[in-house]
Amino acid sequence: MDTIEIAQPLLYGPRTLSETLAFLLANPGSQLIAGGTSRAAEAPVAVTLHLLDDLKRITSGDRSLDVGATAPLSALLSLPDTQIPVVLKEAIRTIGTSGLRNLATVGGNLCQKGTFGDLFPVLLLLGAQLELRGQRSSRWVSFQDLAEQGRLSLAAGELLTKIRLPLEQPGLHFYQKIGSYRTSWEEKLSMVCLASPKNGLLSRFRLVFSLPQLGLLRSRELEAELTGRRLPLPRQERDASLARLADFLAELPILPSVFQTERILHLSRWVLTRLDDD
Amino acid sequence: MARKKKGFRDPLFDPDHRLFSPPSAECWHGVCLRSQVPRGRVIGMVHPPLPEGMRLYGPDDIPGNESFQVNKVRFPLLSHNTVHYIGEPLFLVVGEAEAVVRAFAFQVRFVVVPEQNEPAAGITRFLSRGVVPENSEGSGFRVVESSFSSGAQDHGRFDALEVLAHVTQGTVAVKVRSQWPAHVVSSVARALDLDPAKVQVLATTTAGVTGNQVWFPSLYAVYAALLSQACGKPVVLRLTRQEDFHVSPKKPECKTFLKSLVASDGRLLSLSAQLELQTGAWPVMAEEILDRALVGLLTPYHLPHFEVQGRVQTSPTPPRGPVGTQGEGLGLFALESHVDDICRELDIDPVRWRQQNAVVVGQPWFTGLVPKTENPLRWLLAETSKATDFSRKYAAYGLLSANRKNLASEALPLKGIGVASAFQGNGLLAGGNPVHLEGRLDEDGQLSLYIPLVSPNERQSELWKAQAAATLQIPQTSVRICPVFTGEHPTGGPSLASRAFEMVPRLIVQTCEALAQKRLKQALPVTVKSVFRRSKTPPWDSEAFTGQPFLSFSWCSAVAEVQVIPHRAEVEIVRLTLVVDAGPRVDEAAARNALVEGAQMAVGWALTEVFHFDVSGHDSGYHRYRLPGPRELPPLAIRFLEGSKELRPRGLGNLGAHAMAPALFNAIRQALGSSLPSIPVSRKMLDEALREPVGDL
Amino acid sequence: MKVQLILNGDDLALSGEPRDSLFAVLQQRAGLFPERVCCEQGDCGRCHILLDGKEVPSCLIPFFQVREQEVVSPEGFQNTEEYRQFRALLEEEGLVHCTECTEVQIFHLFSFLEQFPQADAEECRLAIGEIPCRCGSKPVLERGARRWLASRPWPVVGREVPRGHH
Repeated sequence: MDTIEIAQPLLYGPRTLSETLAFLLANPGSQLIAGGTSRAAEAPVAVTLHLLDDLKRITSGDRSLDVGATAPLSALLSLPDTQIPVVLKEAIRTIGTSGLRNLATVGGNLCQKGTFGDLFPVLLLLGAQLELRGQRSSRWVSFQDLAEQGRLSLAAGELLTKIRLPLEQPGLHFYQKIGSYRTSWEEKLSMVCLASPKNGLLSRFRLVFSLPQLGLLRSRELEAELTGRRLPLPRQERDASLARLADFLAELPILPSVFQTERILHLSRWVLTRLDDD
Repeated sequence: MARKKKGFRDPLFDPDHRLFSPPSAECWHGVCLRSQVPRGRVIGMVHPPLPEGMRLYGPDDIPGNESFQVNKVRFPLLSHNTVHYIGEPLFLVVGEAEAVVRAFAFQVRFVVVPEQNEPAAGITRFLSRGVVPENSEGSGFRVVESSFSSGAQDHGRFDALEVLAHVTQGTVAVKVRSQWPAHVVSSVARALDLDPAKVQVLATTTAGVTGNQVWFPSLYAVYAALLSQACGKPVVLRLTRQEDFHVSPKKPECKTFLKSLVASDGRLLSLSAQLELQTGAWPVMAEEILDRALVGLLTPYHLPHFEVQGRVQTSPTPPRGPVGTQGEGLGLFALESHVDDICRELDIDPVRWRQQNAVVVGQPWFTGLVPKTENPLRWLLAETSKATDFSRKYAAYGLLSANRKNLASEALPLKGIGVASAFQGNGLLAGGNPVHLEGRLDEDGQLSLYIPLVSPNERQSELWKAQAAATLQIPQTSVRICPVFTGEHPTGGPSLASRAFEMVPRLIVQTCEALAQKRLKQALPVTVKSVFRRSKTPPWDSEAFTGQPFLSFSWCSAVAEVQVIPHRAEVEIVRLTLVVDAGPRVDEAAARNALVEGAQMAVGWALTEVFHFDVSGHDSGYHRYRLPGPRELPPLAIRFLEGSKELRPRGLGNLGAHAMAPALFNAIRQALGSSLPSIPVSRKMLDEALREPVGDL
Repeated sequence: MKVQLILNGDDLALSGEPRDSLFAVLQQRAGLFPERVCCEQGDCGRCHILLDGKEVPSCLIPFFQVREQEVVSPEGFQNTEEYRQFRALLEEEGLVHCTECTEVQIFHLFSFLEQFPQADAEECRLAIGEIPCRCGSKPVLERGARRWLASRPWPVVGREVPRGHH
């Protein structure tokens, strides 16, 4: 058997953001290591971000919360409920264990290979934005744009530095995650729903599902149909909406599994029966 | 006076623990090279060049007996050219650096020609007793049929098997976690062609009561010893957790078909059952497990007539073992689920039915023996029912279940409550080896107890010391439990926790009382040897199924209350209650710990732990195997039935597992209004049941 | 490569490869976690350490990331007075030692309670359930956790963290 010499990776541990951005521009294709949950350095050149205090900060303003890309998930759980949307906390609590949440980062959850991560649908509905910075550039990208593009595209030398989320709390929120990494894909999905009942009317309604093989599922028609409806929703209207949702699912180019379809319908029914809970 | 046998080190007088703990730098590492297919004929092996210093070890290298034996079952240590199951060790490899050895092993491939092998001999049982009542028209008798399957279950312990063996100058020292050190000795001696007196085994404390460390560690002890003999170094053979998962013994899969004839007032008139156990490639301990499964079916209720058939099925998969139950739990699951079907058919409260049909004084057990003391089942059920408000909830949830269609539109959880009775047979049906105990009281007042059965935990050891100290009226600090070094002291394994619990305290008291007498008459040191003798009851006959099967019985009753959450296709366990009669508690904390452990195993077996083999012999995978998490394990309410006439403490480690699985299953079935066929009740099954048109169960 | 860190109170330089996890280096080079098996997925708790005071799975930390940081392993924790007090309290509650998980649970639970002193009973129960094990010690650990929290000085509650940096 021939032995193959595996070159040791070049590891770079910058301490400031400007150093980091300069290095990334000069070394495109570098592997970024944040919390480390994506394992060890595998590429020839790796940049570890753990020394960058700039990226760990969480700053709250009057209307928004800025979360550094390498802030650990547990730091968000420690925030009082008035300073972070509670639905985001619920989503974070379903990720890993308490020890893992001390290590895993918000940015890392969003930048997993081939998938958007558990927090993406929540941040999408909350209307969050991402800050991407290069050595000489800075831009904000909405989660809505990301969802439409289907992936996070970074220009050469760019780095995800911050996630900004509005602090406005929806009236009602629902989060459900079914399955874990031990579950096969056909039985995994998550749901986020934000709703704002006001004066007996459903003034805002947003509902999104995330499936491993399909990504995000969102029926704008259903959302539009239900927005402005009087609460509580009569059973007939509920059933009619669910029937239309079933049709929507049946017409998707890639179908969810039978299990997923059933859960989507059950979860939607569950949410709709609770919209008048104030 | 120090005792020394030539060539044997008694560690008490001449300890040499270095043999059992060599510096890690000296140890070499052994790995099994396994078949990647389930069956066929091996015609070659493909591997990269063997790195320097590493050594391959095949069946032709075994100096002694090439077969491994457990009771009557024998199979090859390393199969020459026939593959019997996927993962079967065919060769061994040993080397200095573990990573290098494993990297080499990963690249080894066996060339196997597909062939249908001769399956191992099956085991069957047929028992029939009593007179079938005539089911004539107008008699009002009802026939109820059920069919259930239960899945395999892994031991779930995180620490995988690790063995250290060191062969030097014709003696072997083995350190291993084993419930049967004597079997390790005899197996190693057989394979290395040595006198058993040359084999010393240090069996470390086993973790918990899962019972899977009975024969399996002996096999790997042999491998490690063979490698050590071959390379002249101490050898560590460690299974990775994943490797352990794929090949270690699992609880056997079981299928049962039951048919009962029941009178209109609920009296059970006749039970017929066919039970089939899956045992893997070799029926290791399968007789004990099968017989106990049948005993599980036949024990709790009065049976004027019964007819049961039991069968062991083999397949090209790793052998199974007694995990989470010694066997009666398999029969009890089917029986207690069937009883619920009977109750639904007759519209009778399940607690009332069980109380009505429990064996009482004056009625014979299935063995023909008439119990001398009252069966506590009726009182256990009464206590459990009262504590959980069972009957009212059962009726209410039954009504809710009938209205499931309406509930579904409101997205409400579906509620159910289930009850089960169970027992645990303490000791072995087959008896096991005779259990001896030796005590020696020295001039300095130290008492040494050579206890042949491995203590399940340190608390148990302290209790034994306390018992000895109290009997001899010496300080507890003067008592030492000698490590289980085989050699001079005969051992009586396997060490089931219930066996140790029942036999050892009695032997300690017997031995210490005799020592107390002897020291009055002779100068110290004095030695007494005792052997355990079962009480004078008819011995167990495994052909006829007559006699006293166990040392004793422990009993319990369990209630599980659940909610099925349709939008998650999940079961939420609301409450679990166990009421137990196992005699007085010697150590309350340890008793509760054991019951919680058993109940957790039941939750996993009933709900989350999915394990099966596909047609190509591959298992469903370590990464898919899920122990129940905190959301599935609510607090367990435990009550002990006080005022029991039985004055002796009895084992209870499997009671939680035996009772809780059928109780949960019955609760889920009531919640769904659905006749589920098997456990574990997976998400997929729940989803299918939720999609079923609502109708009668 | 050599990495300088503070391990269980001692300044130390550990050697390892860039691809090594911290758990692998601590086990193979520093003699910690003897005979311990880890899932390598951050799931089992068997490799947990304190990194700058926070409990983390060391199997997921690249070895080089602990340069100049403070690491406390379960072995280090077992030499502290807090360990002795916590363990004594659990034994009073009836802890039966499990060879597989007791030390892991004690380390994990103590770390969790230090990080979340306002955890309620349900949160404690979920935290305890994060260490998978067959043993029946969870009810004892839950009671112990509640007693331990009750015996601690009251944390400051009801005060919002001021706007600005966290």
